[in-house]
Amino acid sequence: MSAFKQHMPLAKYSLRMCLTFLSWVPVVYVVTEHVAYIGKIEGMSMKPTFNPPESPNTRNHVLLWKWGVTNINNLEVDDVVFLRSPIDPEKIYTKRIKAKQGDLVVPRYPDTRSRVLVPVNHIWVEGDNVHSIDSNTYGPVSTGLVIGKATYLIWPLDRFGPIPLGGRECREAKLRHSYKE
Amino acid sequence: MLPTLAVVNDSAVVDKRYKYGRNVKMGDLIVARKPTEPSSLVTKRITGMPGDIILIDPSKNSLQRLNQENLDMQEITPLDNSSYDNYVIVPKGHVWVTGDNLNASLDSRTYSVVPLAMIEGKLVYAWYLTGMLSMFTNSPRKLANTFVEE
Repeated sequence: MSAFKQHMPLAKYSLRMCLTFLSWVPVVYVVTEHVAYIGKIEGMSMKPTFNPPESPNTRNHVLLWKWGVTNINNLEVDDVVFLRSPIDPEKIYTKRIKAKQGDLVVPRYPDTRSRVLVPVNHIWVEGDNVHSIDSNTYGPVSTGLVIGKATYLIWPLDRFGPIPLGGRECREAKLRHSYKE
Repeated sequence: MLPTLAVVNDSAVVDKRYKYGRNVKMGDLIVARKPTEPSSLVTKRITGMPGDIILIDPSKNSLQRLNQENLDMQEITPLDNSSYDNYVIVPKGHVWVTGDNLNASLDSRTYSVVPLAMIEGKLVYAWYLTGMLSMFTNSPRKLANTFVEE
């Protein structure tokens, strides 16, 4: 007991530090879950924008903005989004939005359906790589599956900056416009 | 969801271990995000699992204009329901959901299959509460899965 009394200030200090630390745990949890987080891009479906072949061993990291991303008004064409797979809910895909609600899309393989109309609150997502399992396989996806929007490339440091553009144009209205020019 | 859940004042316990459709079964009551409006949640019953073949709703539009006055049955030309009198195969990772009150339910018959990833949980208990006193008169009801394979 006397030993405890002797170290009383130290014990008090550690207890206070512990409680201060613990009180921040829920704050950090809410921020990482609902506001912003760092997302790691795995796989090759977004080549060459992410994980380019020049550096095969570094995985690209992006700043992932999560607040309000299920609202279609906060998503734009050519944004890179993380979404829960419609085929397997435990998997997370990184894809680029190529069309939004109301757009008429020309799919990559128009043999089954020549044109696809994207329904309300749905988006058409594609990988920048041709070898990608995307909306050309599973069709338009609801914005409710989106879990975050990639806003900045933060790792590796030599590629730091905004997300580069990529992919193809698939909206019929824009394609027709470009033919005219 | 009548008659399973009341229109108003019904509180329910949602088991979030079933989030993202983990271990959901045919006949379960689930809470899911509406695909055409992800900001709102809907309560439906799972009536089709991946791989099932679903006949959408051939009775759709067949009873319209019946409450019209001076109705001559001969004059009725049935409204087009060809898009509802159709079969759908539920794709992998999706479920078919319908409300229990089919006449007044907006469900998979309109917005098609729902991805498992949009399921928020499974309803396990419901309690009809209108005020503090009703806690003693009403008891919580267990929402059972009444699905039987024929």
